[in-house]
Amino acid sequence: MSLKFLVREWRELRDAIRRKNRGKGKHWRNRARSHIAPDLAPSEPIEQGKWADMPPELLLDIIQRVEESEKSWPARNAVVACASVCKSWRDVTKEIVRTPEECGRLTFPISLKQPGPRDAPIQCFIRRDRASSTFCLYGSLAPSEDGNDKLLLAAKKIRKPTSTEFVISLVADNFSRSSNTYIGRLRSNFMGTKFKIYDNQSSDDAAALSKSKSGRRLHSIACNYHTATISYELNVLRTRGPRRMNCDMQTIPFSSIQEGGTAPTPMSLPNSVARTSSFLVSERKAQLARDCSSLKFPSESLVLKNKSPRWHEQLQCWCLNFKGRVTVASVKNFQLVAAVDPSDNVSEAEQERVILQFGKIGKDIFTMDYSYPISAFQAFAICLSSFDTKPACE
Amino acid sequence: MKKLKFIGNPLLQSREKINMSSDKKWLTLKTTEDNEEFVVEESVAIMSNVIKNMVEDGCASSVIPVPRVKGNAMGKIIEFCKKHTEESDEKVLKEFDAEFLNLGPDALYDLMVSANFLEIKVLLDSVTTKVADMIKGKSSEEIRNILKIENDLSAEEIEESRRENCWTRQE
Repeated sequence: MSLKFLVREWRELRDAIRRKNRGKGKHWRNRARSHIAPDLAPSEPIEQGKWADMPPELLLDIIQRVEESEKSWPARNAVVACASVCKSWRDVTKEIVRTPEECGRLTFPISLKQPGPRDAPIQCFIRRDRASSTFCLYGSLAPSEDGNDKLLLAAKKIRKPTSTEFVISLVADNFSRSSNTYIGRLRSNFMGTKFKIYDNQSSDDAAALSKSKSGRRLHSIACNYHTATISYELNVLRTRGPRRMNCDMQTIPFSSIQEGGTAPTPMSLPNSVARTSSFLVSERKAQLARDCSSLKFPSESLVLKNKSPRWHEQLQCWCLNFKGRVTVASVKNFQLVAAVDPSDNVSEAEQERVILQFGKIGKDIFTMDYSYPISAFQAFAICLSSFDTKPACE
Repeated sequence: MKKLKFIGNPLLQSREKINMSSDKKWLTLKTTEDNEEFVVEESVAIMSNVIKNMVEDGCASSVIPVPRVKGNAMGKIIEFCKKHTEESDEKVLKEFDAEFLNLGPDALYDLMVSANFLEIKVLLDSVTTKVADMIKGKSSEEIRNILKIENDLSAEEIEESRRENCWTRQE
């Protein structure tokens, strides 16, 4: 759908509604909107200034200029600010901003759950803080000198009697699962050989944002959908060598890496459970039960496995070409590619393409480069599993 | 008594009057909202695509009515077009534009919608760039204050935007 088409549509809708409301003196937007009665949102129609009501093609032009010039963080905050000004600005900003797959940039928190770009990876780094058992993912190539790196996700490691859990959040100071900054979690088995990724929303947008019969939008309860499984092969012979990983990305279809294939791309994060009346709670619980049981996995999902390193005779070690992004030898370092049979209709280039790369560059600093069809959240969760595997795998 | 405005050096006005009938073509633009008339060279006026099309199609009569544009905005527009027609040095034009666009939000808005209506691309690009520069680096609250916009987001949108802003503030 082209922007010109969108602009024409807005103009027609605006003009039609203006004609309808002429003389009534009420702002048309309040009629079009339906939402649960809020604590904070105004209940009376708002008299809007001209800058909120300007011709849509001009608003588009202005916000596009902001978006195109502020490509990297922290300047990209400007785009997020535009989306918080008022409804018309929010709608236009959300239309302009493209997914990471399309433009290679992260803009809103939902970008972290959308597939990465196809042509080149998004390059990030992870910093481990052993003292607080937290791991932070930053959207820069490597730590900058001024420490002004964009925090994308944070994880906290929690040891339990029979498992280890990493709670993943948008912020580094709140890992509560009932907060709207909660994103998902990673849980290991006792041996540290198998991990499950849990997402707080399903890959199906329709299930995540469901409407009741009255047409009102219901807030989704922050729940957990099991969306991927990571397995580390037990190294029974105890020979030194790279760990073998196998990641079953249950919500991503195998067809995503075939010609013309696509990967699930959610367009918004679920809202928190905090501010709703008890009347709606039972209704949501019933809806939730239906959602979880009806979570549809593709019949053939994408499986990632590690790219086999080569034995370097002179250096006497296993080597992978990390293209300069990994500089310290570590058993944690890996590259993941799609597990493909020769009979599958996947090009050789696609078979060789590294979808996720992780490796050490310094004390407690690791790089993480990810690309289509996995998201930053999925990539981060897979990398976190690397921090918890037990000696049985090495 | 009609108010006529000559945009240009007042000392040359008499010479311009003499020259009106000779080599240069002149147009009269009349803003219908407030009945102000502006006499301007055709070469300057046709920076507006709308006026250019009218002239080329032979529709431009002695007085061209211009709706939706206020008199003071028209005056500024003509000043801009005249400078951009006369001057070719990029550096000089850039300095001129910076000074010219040093306006409050209300004046900028009028200039922007007028330039859009009259299809003057150079001016519109300059104004929208100026507005974009004004809002970069500001929070949404600051943008609302500067441009006098009311927050009409729904409760759900407010929660989403709070989460987004919380995330962007993390370093």
